[in-house]
Amino acid sequence: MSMRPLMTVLVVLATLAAGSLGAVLRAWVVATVQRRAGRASARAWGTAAVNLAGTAVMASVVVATREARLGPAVAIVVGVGFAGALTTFSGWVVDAVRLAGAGARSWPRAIGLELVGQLALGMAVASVIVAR
Amino acid sequence: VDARTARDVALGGALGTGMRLVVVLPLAAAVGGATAGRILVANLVGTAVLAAVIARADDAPAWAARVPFLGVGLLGGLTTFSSLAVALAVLLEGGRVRAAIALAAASLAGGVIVAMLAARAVSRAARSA
Repeated sequence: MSMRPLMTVLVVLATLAAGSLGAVLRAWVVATVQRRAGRASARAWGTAAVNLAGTAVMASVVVATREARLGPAVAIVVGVGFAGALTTFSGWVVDAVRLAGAGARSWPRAIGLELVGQLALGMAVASVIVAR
Repeated sequence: VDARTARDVALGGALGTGMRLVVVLPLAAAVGGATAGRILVANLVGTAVLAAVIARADDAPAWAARVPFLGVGLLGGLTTFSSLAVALAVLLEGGRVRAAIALAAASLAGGVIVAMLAARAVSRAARSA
């Protein structure tokens, strides 16, 4: 990817800003789901929601980039910045391990449904969009 | 989410995103595939550090106050689910089923193991301190 220096700086700054936005939106969704459900363990559903939504965004960006409907700059800002930070791997895995460790979930549910199941679902969502 | 939390998450999110940008930068591939290994490393490192931070926050209020910036923002923003899911889809699309299974297994098994080890190491260190 060749970009002019100023352009590169602008893309990086926009990507950081989009990452901020994605992270704050994730925090808001997770906190809102947790509060509405009235129990801390419900935060996992909030994480699942942002992870799957962000995957759809990322897959759409990949498709649009392939079809040259989206330039690399916008793809980086929206894909790497927004969708990348909206979704999380660390929070997802650590929550599952802690909830199971604390007895709020059975291990089969934490591993089978929340980890393997969510990743399979995310991959399916991405596959459907990419295969369009 | 109060204003202070939002500010911490926003700052941490920008920083984590910047770190991830550096990791994936030879960026021919906002298009998956080539960056999968780098994403895996960022995800596992971020998971280990987050598990340590959260374990520390359990019994140290000063660390609990750092969770929005460090945990939700920086480490949440450094690690990513969307790139992983899309990388898996792209591998499958290209018929690289074994590579997809290996990436998924390394991510999940690796994530669970490093999360447990990091949390255990931190609580052991806290007990002996």
